[in-house]
Amino acid sequence: MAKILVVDDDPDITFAVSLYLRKEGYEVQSSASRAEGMKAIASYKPDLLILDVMMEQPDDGIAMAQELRRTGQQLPIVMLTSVGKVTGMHFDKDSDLVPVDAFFEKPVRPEELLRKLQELLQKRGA
Amino acid sequence: METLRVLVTDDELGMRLSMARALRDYVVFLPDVNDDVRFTVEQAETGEEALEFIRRQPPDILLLDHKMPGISGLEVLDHVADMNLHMLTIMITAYASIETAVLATRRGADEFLPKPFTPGELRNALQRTAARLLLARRARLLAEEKRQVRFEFIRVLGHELKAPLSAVTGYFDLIRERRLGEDLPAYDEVLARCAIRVDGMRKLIHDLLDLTRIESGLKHRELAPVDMREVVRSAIDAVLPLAEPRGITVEPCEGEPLILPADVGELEMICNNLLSNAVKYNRDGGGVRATLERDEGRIVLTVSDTGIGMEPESLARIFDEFVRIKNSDTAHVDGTGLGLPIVRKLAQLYGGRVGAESEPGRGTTITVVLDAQAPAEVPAGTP
Repeated sequence: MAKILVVDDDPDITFAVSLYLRKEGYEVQSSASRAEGMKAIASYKPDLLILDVMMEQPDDGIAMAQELRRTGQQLPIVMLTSVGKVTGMHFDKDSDLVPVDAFFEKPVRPEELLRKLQELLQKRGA
Repeated sequence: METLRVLVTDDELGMRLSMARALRDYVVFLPDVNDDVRFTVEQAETGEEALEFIRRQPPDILLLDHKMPGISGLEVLDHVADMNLHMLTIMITAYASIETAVLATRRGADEFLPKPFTPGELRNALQRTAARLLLARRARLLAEEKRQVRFEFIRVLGHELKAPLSAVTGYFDLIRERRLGEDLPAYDEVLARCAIRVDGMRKLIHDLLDLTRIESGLKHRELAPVDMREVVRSAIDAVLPLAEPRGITVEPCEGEPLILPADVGELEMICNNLLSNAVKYNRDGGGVRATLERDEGRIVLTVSDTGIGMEPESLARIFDEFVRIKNSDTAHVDGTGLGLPIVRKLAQLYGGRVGAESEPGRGTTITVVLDAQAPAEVPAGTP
């Protein structure tokens, strides 16, 4: 079964997401920061990354996604955000600025997230 | 050194040239703004020309002759009034008539200069006007800064309030969709986490209201002799249920009573915040020590822990609002980010101050110094 890494500094987001992903049979690890997330990607080698947009810095998630793509990392990235409502910024997955595969506004509906994960993992042939 | 642009508007070439000459090498120190100021002079021959100039690039100060062919100085003032500029105007009147001065002032002139005037009188008028202009400019900058700080506060507050809502809503969806199966006990932990986040949000709102009340000066205070030692002991008792399960030892605070005139609720807030931090940010099996001593007219409270500590760059920010040091050590610690700002504001009410020392992996010590004399009234509107 596919391996998923959840990176979010809110322990309840990583906890809740891990709970239902595991229940669906995914293997899940979580990290609380960008630095820990980068390490986990190297060691855990996830098939898919769920990434919060805002951690210590308001754009840590975006910076992390950019860094991954810059280094040729192609794994699918799902970005969780509450940014739109807080700052009035609007992101869009097609924008070069944010190289991710899907966007979810928090709170994330488990059903929708699971559907998206399946789709992305299938596309990747994992 | 500030350079202010002056537009001299007079139909007489001689007047314009002599004013330009009087200001050319004039540099004056303005004590009000603690800065030197010099002037660059540009010229306009008529009211129409002046307006054209002002529309293109408004000067800082307009020196304006009252009587000119074409539109008069007063008419220029009327046009300028509609433009919403930060420019100040010095009206030059051909005779020292009170009526003209009053009329010009009413229509927006900030200063007036009766003809004939000496270069010295011109410079004095410019100096006064420059001081006003620069003071107003600084006030505007300050107001803008305050607006930005407020905006940033609300932005972060919005985020801090939304995070627990997202977490709880996420859990609710998980329950609603029966993601963990049909057995109710499978959801116990999820429900417990919901309760914790809702509590956290309630605490945040309480802290926010406390902070606002302290800042606004509207907080109701009852000053009476309070034994600080007793307050520290109660705060220790309050954190024991959090400390014991994690094997954290909180040393008793031994010593004589230390009486100071204070609002007991405020001292409790200080002590509870510091002791709960010392436990929350500790390692399992760690220790907490609170000491209290009198130092002449002051009372010094130190709360030390053997906890996770922090880097200097984090330490520098911990008394700021909504700063929570986030890393894997603190990810599971709940907090509002307002505890230490509240402690600092309260200490200020007692003519006191706060300090912090920390070493990553070794622990943190917070020191609060309070004036043991009668505390000052809450200063209204202090930031």
